Amino acid sequence: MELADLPDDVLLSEIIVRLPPSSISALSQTCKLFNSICKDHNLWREKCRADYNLPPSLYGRFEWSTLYRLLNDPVVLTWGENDGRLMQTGDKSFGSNIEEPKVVEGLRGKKIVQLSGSGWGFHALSSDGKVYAWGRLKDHAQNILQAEVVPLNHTFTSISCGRSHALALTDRGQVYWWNDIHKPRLIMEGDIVSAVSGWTSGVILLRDGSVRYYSDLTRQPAEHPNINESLHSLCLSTGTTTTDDDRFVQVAAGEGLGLALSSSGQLWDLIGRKRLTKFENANAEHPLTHLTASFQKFAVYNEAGDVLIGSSRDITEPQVIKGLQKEGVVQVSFGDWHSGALNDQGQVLAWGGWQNGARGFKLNGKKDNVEEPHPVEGDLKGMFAFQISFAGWHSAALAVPMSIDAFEEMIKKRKLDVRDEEEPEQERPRRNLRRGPFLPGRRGRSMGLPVQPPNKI
Amino acid sequence: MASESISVTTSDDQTIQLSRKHAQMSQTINSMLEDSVGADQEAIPLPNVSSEVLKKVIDWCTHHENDPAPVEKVKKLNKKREYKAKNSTISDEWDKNFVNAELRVIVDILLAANYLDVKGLFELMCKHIANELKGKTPDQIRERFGIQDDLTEEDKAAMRKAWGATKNDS
Repeated sequence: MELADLPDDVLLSEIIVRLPPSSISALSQTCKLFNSICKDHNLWREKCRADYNLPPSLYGRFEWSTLYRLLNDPVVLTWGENDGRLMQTGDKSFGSNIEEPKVVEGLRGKKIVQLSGSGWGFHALSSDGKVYAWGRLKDHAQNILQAEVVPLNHTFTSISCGRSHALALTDRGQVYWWNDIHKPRLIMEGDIVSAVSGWTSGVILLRDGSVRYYSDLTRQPAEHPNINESLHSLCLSTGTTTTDDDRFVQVAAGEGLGLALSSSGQLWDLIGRKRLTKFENANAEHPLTHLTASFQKFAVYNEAGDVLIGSSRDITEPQVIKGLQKEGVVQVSFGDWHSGALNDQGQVLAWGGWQNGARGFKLNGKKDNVEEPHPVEGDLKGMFAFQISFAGWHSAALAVPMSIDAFEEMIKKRKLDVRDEEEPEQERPRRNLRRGPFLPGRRGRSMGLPVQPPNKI
Repeated sequence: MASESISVTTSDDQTIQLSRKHAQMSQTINSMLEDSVGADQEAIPLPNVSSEVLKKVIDWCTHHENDPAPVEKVKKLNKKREYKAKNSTISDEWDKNFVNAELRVIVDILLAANYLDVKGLFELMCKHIANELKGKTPDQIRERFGIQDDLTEEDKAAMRKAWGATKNDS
């Protein structure tokens, strides 16, 4: 018996996953078999999570091994109404809107891996588990012009903002809530998979598949959630059927929205206690695999590349946005009047109202409403975006350079020596940052990840 | 009352007695025992495990018989293991000596531990192999693990380019 006789899943999930990137690279260069095994999509996705704190909710059939090598220095870009919420250098003078994506220099080197827009600002999560905030959580409050760290000595694994509050999850399964970053409050502790906010509400998903929905987290969380359900309790009380092992694996919240998606693709409106079957049945061959929401809208995705939009105004009726279907869309995000989408090519698209630049482009020099998604460029040109957050009258994206060559060029240009920024962490991939083409995403192939049972974050 | 020892038959047709305590450290045997409560206890066939390897498994179980039971069984949800980052630290001195064996034996024990579902032993073998891979160049890995080099020079140049320069970071 030899190493190659071990089943691939044992090699990957039990042995190779324990190796630093340089050893994975060495193993992959020993023979054709190991070269093929070491390219595994889920392996690098997990390395991104474990080594860079990239949220497991991040979705998309990216080339994760290349993304991993470029994650050493992700860039935050913001654009839109510039009243202090964008952390742009022009903030002191205000009034001059940022009409195209612009790099936030004040966050360079902070290794930001997740962004979440609030009503008048942003929160961001870093690789080392800190939560940064800028802008404001309340209207008329004073802006935080340079990102401040939420004063808690915990390692956070996700951050999610509503309009005036935030929910953050730690690596120990604690959910913190705040509407003032200086006064965080522990609201739940346990085997928690995710905690997401939307407008005034929030939903917490536990590993056993049960969900807790809070309708109003603006001022302070109620002692008990407004809804405490599981897929099976909903099925039982509504006469719906499902399999024994089916359970909720994703949740989303918005204004008047509390939604949960099961591992088999059942989509439930938690507030109305009903299944949204028109969404589920839109493509009978490809069940829903992913769910996001912001403000009054939500988006569901399947492996075939379909994206359906729902709204709290008529929750049962799916809408199709022309120009988003079969385009490898991995995320859709909504501001007050403008909307954005991200595809697996790392491209950001936007449509809707111009909103002081929050849409990110003018069409033929005009600010008029745009119905169909158009590419957003500015500083995003030449970058590969891997996450977006649109909110209120502002937008943000997280991006890495399009290739490792481009990365080095950018470093040279910015005269920024990343070696000084790097933490003394053994397994970070800086040493691998030499050469290598950025392999584009795989448009046309199955774009969605199957819904996995929730992992401990 | 259940007997205190269990008979198993190995792939090389040997019948070996296991104490009930050791047998129960294997989730696979434990399930078979639970399924056959009240039935005549015949020797349990273990067609995937040789007597040589089973003796090694029993050695490990003997040393670890008083360890706290693993918190959860090895999960096989949808027959797919979870990809979770794991460390590869082996802290027990006895275990460090135990893994000091030929690669062939290590792989056989790993496969037996996987089949018998002995979580601690399975993890130990995986950690050991990971440690053996760490910090080595492709040439050193081929030599240590007897991997045949089937790559052309062009393949290697392309891989070096794709992966970037390989350096030891352990």
